[in-house]
Amino acid sequence: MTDQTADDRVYLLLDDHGARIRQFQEHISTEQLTIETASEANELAAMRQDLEVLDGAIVDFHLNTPTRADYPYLRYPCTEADCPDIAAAGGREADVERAHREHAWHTTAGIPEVNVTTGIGAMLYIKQHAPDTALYGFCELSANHSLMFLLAARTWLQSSAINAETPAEAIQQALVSDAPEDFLPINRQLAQAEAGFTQLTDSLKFLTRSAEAFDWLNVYRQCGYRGSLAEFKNMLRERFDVRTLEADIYIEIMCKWQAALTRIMMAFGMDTSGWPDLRNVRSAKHWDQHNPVLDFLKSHDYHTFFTAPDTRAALAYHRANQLRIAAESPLGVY
Amino acid sequence: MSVVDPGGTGDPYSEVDLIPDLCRVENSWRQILRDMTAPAPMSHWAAEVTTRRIARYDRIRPYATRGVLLVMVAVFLALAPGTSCWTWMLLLPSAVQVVLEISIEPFVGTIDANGNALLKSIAAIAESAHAQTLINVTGVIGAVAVPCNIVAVAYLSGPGLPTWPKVVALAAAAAYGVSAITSFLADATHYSAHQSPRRGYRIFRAVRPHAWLIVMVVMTAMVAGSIAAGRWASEMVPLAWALCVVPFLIGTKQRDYERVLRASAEHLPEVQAGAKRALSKDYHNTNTDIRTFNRELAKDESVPAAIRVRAASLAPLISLMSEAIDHDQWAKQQQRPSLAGIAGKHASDAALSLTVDIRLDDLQPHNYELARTLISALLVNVGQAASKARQAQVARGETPSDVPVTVVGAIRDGLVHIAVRDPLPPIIDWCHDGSTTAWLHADLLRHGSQDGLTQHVVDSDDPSKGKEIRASWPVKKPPKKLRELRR
Repeated sequence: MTDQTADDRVYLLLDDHGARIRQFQEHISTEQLTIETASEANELAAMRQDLEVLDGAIVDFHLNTPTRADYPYLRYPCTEADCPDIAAAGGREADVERAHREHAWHTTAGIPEVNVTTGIGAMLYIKQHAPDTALYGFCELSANHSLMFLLAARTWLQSSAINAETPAEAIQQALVSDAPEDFLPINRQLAQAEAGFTQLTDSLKFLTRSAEAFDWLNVYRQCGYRGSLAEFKNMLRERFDVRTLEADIYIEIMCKWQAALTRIMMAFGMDTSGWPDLRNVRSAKHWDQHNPVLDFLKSHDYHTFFTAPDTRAALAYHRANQLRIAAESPLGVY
Repeated sequence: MSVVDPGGTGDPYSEVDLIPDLCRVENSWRQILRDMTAPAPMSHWAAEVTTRRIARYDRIRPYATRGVLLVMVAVFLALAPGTSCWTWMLLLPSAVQVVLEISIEPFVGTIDANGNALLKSIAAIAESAHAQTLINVTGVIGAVAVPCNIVAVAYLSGPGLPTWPKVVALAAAAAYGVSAITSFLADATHYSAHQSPRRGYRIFRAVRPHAWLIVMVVMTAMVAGSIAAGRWASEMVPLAWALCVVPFLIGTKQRDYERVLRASAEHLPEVQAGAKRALSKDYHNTNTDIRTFNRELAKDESVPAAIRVRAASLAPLISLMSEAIDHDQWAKQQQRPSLAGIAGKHASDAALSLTVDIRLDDLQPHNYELARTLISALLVNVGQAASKARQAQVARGETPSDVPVTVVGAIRDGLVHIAVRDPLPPIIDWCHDGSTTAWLHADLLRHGSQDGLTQHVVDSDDPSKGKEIRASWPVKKPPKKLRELRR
């Protein structure tokens, strides 16, 4: 076993792709850079007492977690008592107390308990047990399916990102540096797209009623391919007991969603030409012929993001954390 | 007994409830009865097709049809004797319905600043009714208009000469009713997968297939009353009775439409599979060079063993994208090529006669990759050895013999076991430096295997019976001790 010094780095790679695990082990890992690996989220349970020793966790989002009923899913939030047990590992009393307080906060902050099936759930689990461990979303940027996960991890969990297509040397250099983001250009693109993502997820703040845009997007995703206002209203009523949705409010929401998605996609150089012009929207029928919002939501690329319970738990974490930060700051929510 | 019932399949490529319950039975005679009671095919497919039918094909056609029928009713009532001002009053609801339906059509779903406020309000109600409720303004007016038309013709005209216009007027009024009620029963609301689950809706869904029967009974009662009241010339009474079967057309039209929806939905998975098959073929054809290159790389002795092993395990994957065509099976094998398929592809590449008994569907990703690598590399080795053996046989003037190979995989006692048996002689320089077997052996040890890769003679008394190469390793990886890395 390699003896680590204070300057040496230890990272965990959670990825279901054996080839990428091998790439890290063979081309990125060095004497000073230890890469431990796991291919399933449920392996984190056995490591939970030790996660705090990691400098960072590099997490793939699409873990291809089995869907069979008898699969031993990792559960988040972890509800184990006296967890993580860093006292047994010689942790200082103050550190133990802080770790337990943070761990307990996750279980009492109103975050729904979920089976972890994706990388964002694994990140939450790591955050609960090792809040200071840096998180890195790991994906191939050219495959769009991780785009929303990357943005959610960045915005909600303060994660960075590593593009799997980046040369091994650059990844290695980043992981041993003090400012990994400087070596990882994907983070500049994510920073550009972040405003659009925030605009999307906070798009319903103008409503007088309390509503979470992510939930409404998820409902809208299930509308027929025309995505009519009436069908949307019906499903909102069934799901959230929303009694009314006026046409002008619907139009405002659709404009916000389309604009936010445009900003996200443009940040990644994706084509949005031909999308309906938002400068003169007079009717809810404006999107009858071409509804890019619905096309985006129904795309198989983003299916896991909108349907995985971990994603909703990550949003709940983010909202609870916003309230916690506001409560601790003399400026409150301002 | 249901023959096919794929309703509610959770295919992520097509979304939940894309395809409705097909409501088919084996017996042709029972199918008639099944049709008569079949519920609306509620699904995304049926709702989408219906929405497009209404928005792009029906448009104002049903309203215009009813307008023409109303004019016919009025004209023939004008020709009929005994028509009074009350007769015309009773036609007013139909006139209002037709005019409103045509007038509000451009406003549905719009918030244009210009336009009549009343029409816009009625349009808003119609829009909110779409896929949501069963009630809108014009629908309510229609519910009054249809019986009013029948009453106007049956009770407020006749029975003098000429007798025939009253019969034609009743036929037109009945046709108006068929059009209005069919429009209502074939609206997108009834096919929406998101229709309200409330009790009233559930009751209506159960009653809906028999709506035509109820309408027929009501119309017959109304006509019977008018006959009893002496409002028909005696020679026209049989025709009046005959017209009471017209509401049967409501059921016929409704069932015809729903059979088309179900038939198209039954064809849909075949279209999807065809598209996936075409994509899989294109993928295979486009990547044939990569597959060939990997196969050559796997056999190239000058290439490091690690790369040869990897090339061998990648080569068959391109061909096995075809396994993704059957979505349920693909999901069952965790959306990755099956180990049996991989073994089969290697065997066909090397003309081996393969028997497979692999029971490893639920392998975790790292175990699956190791199993795939092992099976691929070992079968490539067997293929090369078999090829050499065949060449030697040909050189000796013998007919090349068949090479039966058996691949077995299972989980026992917490270990993954894989064995490849072939009739060729044991490898003499087993696991020599730089060989793929040596690399596999070391990789197995890294995965916690006790013995690594081992070679066994099937029958030590008879080497011609061949050999078996075995590998086993723990299903679960030993727990990581991250903290020890810091000490």
